[in-house]
Amino acid sequence: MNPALPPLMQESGVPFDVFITSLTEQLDRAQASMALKARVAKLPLTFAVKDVSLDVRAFVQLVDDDVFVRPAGPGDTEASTIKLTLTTVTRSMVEENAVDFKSEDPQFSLREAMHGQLSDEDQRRLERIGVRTVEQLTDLRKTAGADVVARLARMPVNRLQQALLAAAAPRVTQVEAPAPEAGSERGAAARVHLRAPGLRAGRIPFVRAAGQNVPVVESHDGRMVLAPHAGQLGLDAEIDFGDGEIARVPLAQGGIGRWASGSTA
Amino acid sequence: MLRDLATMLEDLQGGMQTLAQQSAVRLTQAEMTLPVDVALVLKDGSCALLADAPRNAADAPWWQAQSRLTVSFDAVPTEWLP
Repeated sequence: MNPALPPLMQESGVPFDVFITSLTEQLDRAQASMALKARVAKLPLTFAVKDVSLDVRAFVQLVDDDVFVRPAGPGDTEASTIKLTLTTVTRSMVEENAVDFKSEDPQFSLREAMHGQLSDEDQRRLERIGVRTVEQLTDLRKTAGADVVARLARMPVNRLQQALLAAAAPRVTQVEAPAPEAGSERGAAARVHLRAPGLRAGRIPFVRAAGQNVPVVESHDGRMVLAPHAGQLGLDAEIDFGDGEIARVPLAQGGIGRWASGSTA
Repeated sequence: MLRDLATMLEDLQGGMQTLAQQSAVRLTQAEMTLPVDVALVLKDGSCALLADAPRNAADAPWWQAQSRLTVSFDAVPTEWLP
């Protein structure tokens, strides 16, 4: 093994999923490079990797409940053999199975929702298990629970709890501010649409801004519509979901909420 | 010095591409099973898999049994590629 590698990697190798990822990254890179060369050369036909099978001589061991793999080196004896077979996907298969990233508003990226508290490493860990957006993290919390997600992402539970808490904060998705009606000083009420994963079924939250109540027009399925007065637009609203769960969110386009200290969402 | 697996695959494909352009007979498919040396290194913030054919026959006695890479190539229209 390379002496420049960290001691754990020299002795135990890398987690199995990291090994698989490094293999697929190489294949993706090779395919992309081959396709680029064929297009640049304007070749009507080219050769593409169809199937790859790799029999790796390696040592396999468990480290903290994770399977680690270290490829055998010169002089290593009695290594195991891992047989991996991969096949390629066509353009149509990619299009059928790809996640539609356009449907997710980029302003609600994980990084934005975490107010910059998510480190690059933690973001990579979440992406490794397929979590790239706030919606995916919120859905995962409902279906799997924090302990399972933390184990899969190899993140400390307390850091994941912070991420889940931040992801569950309300955020403004759309602000409708109609123009004032002709002959009237007051126009129709504005509408502020929010996503509120912390919303509880059958309970309408209590919303206040600038010392006054903010009417809640709709509240269901994790979504809320508020009808603030003109003077409340742009100010922080306090949303009380009940049971001590209170969040503050600016009533402005793209506003991302924060839980008040002591909230238990 | 081992190279990235991707670089080796590109070399293999490049060889076939040259053959396909020069030969009167059309090559449509190729499958090869090769002994490879495999290693992992940390590079560009992630783990990179190095896998390359042995440099010379003298390397062989170092290994009890080599890792093996079997790769098959198909001739496909360029527009089919993702």
